[in-house]
Amino acid sequence: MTSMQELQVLVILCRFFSSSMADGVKNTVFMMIFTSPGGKPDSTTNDRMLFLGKLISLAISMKSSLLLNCAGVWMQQRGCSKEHLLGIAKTVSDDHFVLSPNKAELTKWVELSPHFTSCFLSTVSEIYGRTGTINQFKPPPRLLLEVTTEWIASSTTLALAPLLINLQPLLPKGSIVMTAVTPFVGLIRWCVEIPLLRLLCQIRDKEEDEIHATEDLESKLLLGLLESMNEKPNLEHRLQQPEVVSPRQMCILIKGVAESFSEIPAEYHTHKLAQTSLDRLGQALQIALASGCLYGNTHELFQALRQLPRNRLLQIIIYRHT
Amino acid sequence: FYGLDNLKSNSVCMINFELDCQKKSISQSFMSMDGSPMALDGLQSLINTLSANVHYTGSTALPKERFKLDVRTLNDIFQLMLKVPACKSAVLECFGVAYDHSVYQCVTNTEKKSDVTTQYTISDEVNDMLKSLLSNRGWTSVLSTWCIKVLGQLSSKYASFINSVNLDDIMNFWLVCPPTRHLIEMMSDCLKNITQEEADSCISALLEMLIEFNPHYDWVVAYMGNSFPEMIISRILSVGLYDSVSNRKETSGNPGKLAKVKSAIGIVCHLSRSHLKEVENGISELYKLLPSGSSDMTEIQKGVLPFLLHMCTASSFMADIIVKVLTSAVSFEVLEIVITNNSWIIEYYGSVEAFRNYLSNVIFRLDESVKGLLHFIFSTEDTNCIVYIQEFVTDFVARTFKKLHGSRPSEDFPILSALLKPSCLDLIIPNLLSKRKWYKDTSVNFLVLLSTYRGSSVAVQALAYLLCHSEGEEQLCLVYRLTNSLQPIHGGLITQSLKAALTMTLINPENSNMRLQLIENLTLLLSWENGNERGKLSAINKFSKAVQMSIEMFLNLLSDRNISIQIVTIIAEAGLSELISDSVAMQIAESLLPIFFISLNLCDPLEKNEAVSNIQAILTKISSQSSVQSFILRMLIKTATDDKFGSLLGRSDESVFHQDNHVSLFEKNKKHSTLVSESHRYNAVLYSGVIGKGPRMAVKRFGDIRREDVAQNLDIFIETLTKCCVSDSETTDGITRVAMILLEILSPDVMYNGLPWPEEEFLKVTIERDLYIKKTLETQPVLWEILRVLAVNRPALCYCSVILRAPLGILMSQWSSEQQRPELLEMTSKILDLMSLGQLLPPPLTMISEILAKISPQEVAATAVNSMRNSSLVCNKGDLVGQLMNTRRPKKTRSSRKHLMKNF
Repeated sequence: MTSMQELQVLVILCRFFSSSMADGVKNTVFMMIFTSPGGKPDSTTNDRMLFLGKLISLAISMKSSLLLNCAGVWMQQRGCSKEHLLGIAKTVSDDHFVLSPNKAELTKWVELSPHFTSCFLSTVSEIYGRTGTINQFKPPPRLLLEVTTEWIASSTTLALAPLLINLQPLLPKGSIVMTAVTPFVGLIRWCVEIPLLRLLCQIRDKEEDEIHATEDLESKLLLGLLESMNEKPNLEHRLQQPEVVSPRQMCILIKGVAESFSEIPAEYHTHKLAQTSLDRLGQALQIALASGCLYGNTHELFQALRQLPRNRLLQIIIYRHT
Repeated sequence: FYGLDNLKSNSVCMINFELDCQKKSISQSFMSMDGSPMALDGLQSLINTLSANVHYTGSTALPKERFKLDVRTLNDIFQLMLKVPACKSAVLECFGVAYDHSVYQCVTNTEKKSDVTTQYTISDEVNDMLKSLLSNRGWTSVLSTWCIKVLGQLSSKYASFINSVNLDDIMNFWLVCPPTRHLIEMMSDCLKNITQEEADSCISALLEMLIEFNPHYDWVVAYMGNSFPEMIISRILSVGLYDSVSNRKETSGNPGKLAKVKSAIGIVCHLSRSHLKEVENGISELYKLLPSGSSDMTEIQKGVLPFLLHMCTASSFMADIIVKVLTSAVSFEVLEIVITNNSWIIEYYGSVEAFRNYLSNVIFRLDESVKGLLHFIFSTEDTNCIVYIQEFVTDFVARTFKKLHGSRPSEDFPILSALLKPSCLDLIIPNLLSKRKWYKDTSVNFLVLLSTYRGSSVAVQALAYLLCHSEGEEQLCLVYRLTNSLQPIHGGLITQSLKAALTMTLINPENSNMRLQLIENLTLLLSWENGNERGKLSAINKFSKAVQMSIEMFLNLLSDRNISIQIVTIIAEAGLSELISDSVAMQIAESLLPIFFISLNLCDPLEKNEAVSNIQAILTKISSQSSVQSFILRMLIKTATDDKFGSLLGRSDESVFHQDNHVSLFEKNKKHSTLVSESHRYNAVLYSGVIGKGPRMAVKRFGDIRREDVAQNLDIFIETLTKCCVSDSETTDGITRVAMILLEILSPDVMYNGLPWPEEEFLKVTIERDLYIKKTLETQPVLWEILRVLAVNRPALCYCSVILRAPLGILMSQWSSEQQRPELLEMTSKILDLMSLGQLLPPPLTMISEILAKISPQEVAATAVNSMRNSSLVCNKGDLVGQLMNTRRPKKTRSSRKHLMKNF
């Protein structure tokens, strides 16, 4: 198949999923096309994902909210942070944040499909950020960070969007609704880890322009996230599941931060950037705990928290919650 | 899929849109759309336009028709790509077709040599559009991937249009073609901008293409290699290596099918010219793959050396690099492991013999790198692998000999020509004297090989080196070994070598050690020859002849006083050739005479005797020619009487310096002091400047010489002189010459030197000359000795009778002034003795000197006068007796007078 033929197929599919048709049917077709038989990754998964990435990218360009909704449902069902989904997010973010960076268009995603946007954020926050040690920390492209911040700031419900949709009627009959994942943990990680990366660059005398200029954005993003979490009590009646932030995910985040600190010499642990990072973590935790976004088995989480360097806010939190 | 119905219903809308599109520009209609269904329709129509007009011809079929899209449409779809990134692969594909058309145009135009240029402006446009994207990092990685692919397709598709298989030609072909040039330039621009990680994946893609489109993709990789040498080269090498290893299994026994290896090697060869350092690093990396432990070799490790050897055969330049890196990158430990574990040889070449044959052929084609190889050979230490290397080198030399014998005389062997270069010879020749036997043997082998190949100059050089640098008999024996194997091929070798060696020592006068060593070696060699020791001399008297031939150079060396005695020994040992020209003989004489006098001053009597007898022998030999003889005699006498050597022969006077520049002390002192000079003040009496002409210039004289030494020296001198006088067993001729020469030297006057004795009165005229001669005779005992020789060999003394006459005249006047002095007496009696010895006095007067001490001065004067008269051929005996009788004499001499009378 030539690329031209591929494009033609893409257009046909795009047209199909953009048509006014019962959502349940559309989602069923979508899942049949893009889920490997048996639901497990197999040899065709890669091609399917590549193709799906292009389809979503096209749908975004075509502003097809219907298709994007389907994609959002599909992504939520597949589990947003699954590895083969990362490829989709990569294609989409490359296409729209790197190759064709149009900020005005990008901000409209929230209107087009908040559900998809939220799922995209969950996935894309896995691509950028920590992928191993802090040396392999890949900062998100500036535009992505900017747009994300704008999205979160403009709509406090965006991050909670997966929790607000009842998927059951949208799915083929007999399907089980999977636990919705919110982008909170991934985005908090950006806010917490980027200052550490910046500090590491300072220590090693490296120049990384992209890391330097985003300080305000991170703060704003964190604020947006905190506000979104605070929104939870107001939306209590609409939420499909009580868990907003998974304690397990949060725990992984904290362990990652601890690991990052292990690579920073101890004398820098009181550095302003390190403390900023810890402050942000503390703020996020405090709000999550206070708003009820984070609850349940937090024992391990606090255990991990104690491994971190000394920070006044964190100590207060540890003191209050244990 | 009930939605499909919906799809069909949309097609009506689509058709309408297409109609709309035909009126407006496509992009306009598309871009003005908003809202999803209509935007999709616009896209759909654009796609339809493209798929209707752009025929993707695939990787083999040539485009049949012209490219239909105009620049505006291309720009539209370019804009589309920017707006809708999901279309990028389709749009780029379309651009690829545009490039395809342009290349086709280009290629066919080149063939037809026509000047149609319209079509490939399309690719120029596209190129400009795409270039605008290069500032965006995201696009660079997209574009580089695309370029890699398109270039691969194009270059394999149109490969049949290139007539050459040479990588340079191919690259040139594609770079002349604008579309491909644009593509590859864009690609290298892209690679410049992307991160390391992306570059890695790009290069992997590049190498995949290399394999996929082999060998048409080589030029792309080579070009990129030029731009990113450190990234590309080592990868290419490892691709080549892995491929050669995996191919061997598939095509074992048929190494011809190593296409990928070939292209890898081709690319590296190409790059080696401009990126030597990177290529060297790459090769060094390959060498590092060789095992360093004793464990079994992996497949890759087995393949390293065959791969490198393969590369050596491909290009001599690569061979140079590979050999150069070998010496630095591979330790002997590793080499030992590799050589002893010959499983790879068996696997790749079948047998050790076949491998040797292959390796010999590889080495035989080496050029510059042979120097590196020599370095390598001459740095092998005594590890186990040395046996293998030795065997191989011997084997190689034997093979080369075989080839040489089978070749035409003018045939060129690059390796031998390379070995003949000074840089290589400088490595080979000094190893002749190496302590390691195997280095020595190898050098000898190489030298024999080389001199068989191109004349004797190498052998001459080597022998000259040996002559100058060998120490001890053992090393010197090598001279014979070399000459014995080479002399049959090249005549006159030894003479040439000797001359070369002498030239070397003359060129480097500061290197006196070398000179001494040469002399020592030569002496040893000559003594072997003359003694015919140890049966070493199949070439008898070769060196004597050589010395004879190069006698002039030895004469030059004689000026070095430190070695002159040894050189004399050498010349004497070697003897002189029969056919020696007068001029050379004169040169010999001239150079030898100072040495003769120097050797007279030697302390060690043995040494002195040997030196003197050597010189005597030589001089005697050359003085057999009469022209030379007179020269020698003159030189002998002149040197014997000059200031420098005279003291050796008892010369006793001090040179007198005349101070004729008389200057007033007062005047001179004025220069040094401005004070008014008053009488009786010190500055009027004392001189404050330089006294006279300053310190007297020291005339180099020999220190105090013992009396018995002087006597011995005199004996030796006279012996030499007489020997030189003998020419063709005829002495008198020479003696006469001596007389004439002596006369010429001693008498400052040209007149009145004739035979006849003048009247007494006439002596007053020649008194000045006479005084001079007498003074000279007084100070130089050697003259007396010469005169004695003349006297003995009658009638020579007659020719220089003036020498006797002059002092006698003076003496006469001194005696007559009644001065009785012992020195007068001595001289008078000496003269009288000489006269009687020379039979200038008649028999009764021969003993007259005996009585001189007994008679009074007046009587002596009278005696002298008489002897003078009598000697002048007219002899009047009575006169003399009468004189004696009449002379008043002092009392004390009476008895002696009686005695005298009695005798009479």
